[in-house]
Amino acid sequence: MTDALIARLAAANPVPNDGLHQLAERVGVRTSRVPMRRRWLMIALATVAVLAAILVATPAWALVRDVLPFWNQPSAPSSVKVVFSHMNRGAPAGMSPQAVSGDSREIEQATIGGETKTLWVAPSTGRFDFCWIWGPNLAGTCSSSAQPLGVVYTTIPPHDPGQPAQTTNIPANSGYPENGVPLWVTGSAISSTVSDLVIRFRDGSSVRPHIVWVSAPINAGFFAYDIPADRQSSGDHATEVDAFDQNGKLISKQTIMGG
Amino acid sequence: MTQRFEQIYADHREAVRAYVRRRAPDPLVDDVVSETFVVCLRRIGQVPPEPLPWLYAVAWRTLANERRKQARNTHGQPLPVAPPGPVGDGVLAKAFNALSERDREVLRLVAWEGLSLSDAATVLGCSGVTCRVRYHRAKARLASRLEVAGSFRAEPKEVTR
Repeated sequence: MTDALIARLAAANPVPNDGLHQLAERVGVRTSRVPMRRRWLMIALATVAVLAAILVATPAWALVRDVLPFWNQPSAPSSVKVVFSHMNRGAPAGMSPQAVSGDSREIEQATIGGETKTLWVAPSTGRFDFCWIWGPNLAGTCSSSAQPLGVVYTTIPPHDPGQPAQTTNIPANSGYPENGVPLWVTGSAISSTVSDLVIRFRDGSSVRPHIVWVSAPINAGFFAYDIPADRQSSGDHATEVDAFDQNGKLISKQTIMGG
Repeated sequence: MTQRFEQIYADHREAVRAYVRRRAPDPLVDDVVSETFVVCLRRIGQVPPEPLPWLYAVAWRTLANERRKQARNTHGQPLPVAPPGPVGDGVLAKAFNALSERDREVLRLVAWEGLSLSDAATVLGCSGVTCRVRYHRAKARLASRLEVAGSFRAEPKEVTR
């Protein structure tokens, strides 16, 4: 009697897996496996449907931009997955970004502050769409498609000349009153709305940072701009990052507070 | 060490995730899975050669902690989203949900995770004998509830004359 009972319970598994069939076979109950030929037909039809959906859903930007396929990127090492996990665990109750640490990927490397840094990105299932980290020991945050532009900049606050300099990462527009000038600026831009980014300096000059665009499920671009040493003075520092849509219209401005 | 962790993560991530999804409301799943592997990485030297029952045990304790934390935050009120129960069989779901959590867990481990009673004992932190007794009693209680509902009839036992 009990084997039939367990088989009945197994068939009601809310998250079924192949083990269901194995268990059912173990207890002598037949389950409704789809015949192999029909399975192949279903897989073929599903593949065609997915390809058609991708063709229909791919916005125009993806056809003209170089877009890095997220799932083809190397998986993050465990040390980075743990950092993303800590983002979740360290958040106050109900505020977890729910970064899917196991799906984090390496996106690119850049030389920042004379050191090679790596950009790691993880999809998020919470109120954010993705989280990113420039590591080791640089900057990172989580972003949603509701915010076209997310910027974090790094400064060295004034310090005792006898002590080693400590860098501080500050979210742009945070209003956090930090002294010191920006050394580098990192951030993300949402693919569906942002086409171009401009970093502006106090003297009126500007630069366009290199952006790496990443495919679904991220659908965003990332940049890291290493500010030249001659622009790291209080009279000549970076003051803001502007995001423009494909028509050149300013859609978001993030103010850098250093200086 | 890190290489072993990578292997464990690659081999068992989906199973652990499925285990948690069978017991936790969706908003908790990612956090519990992540924390389970954080613990695995911290204690990689203690992970047994067959890691899955050990991982389930960690996930179970993590989930219990998470439930306690949520209960504190909601001042003892039940979680807004209930964990999943059996699907597609309303009578079974009602009878199953009426069992104690201890009964439900041993039945889930065998029926949903497909564990042997020996592996289930590892997850539950009890001896194999205790687990076997717990399992048979849980099955009897579930069968009894279903029989009352007229949805299950035990096969007649042989009577020695």
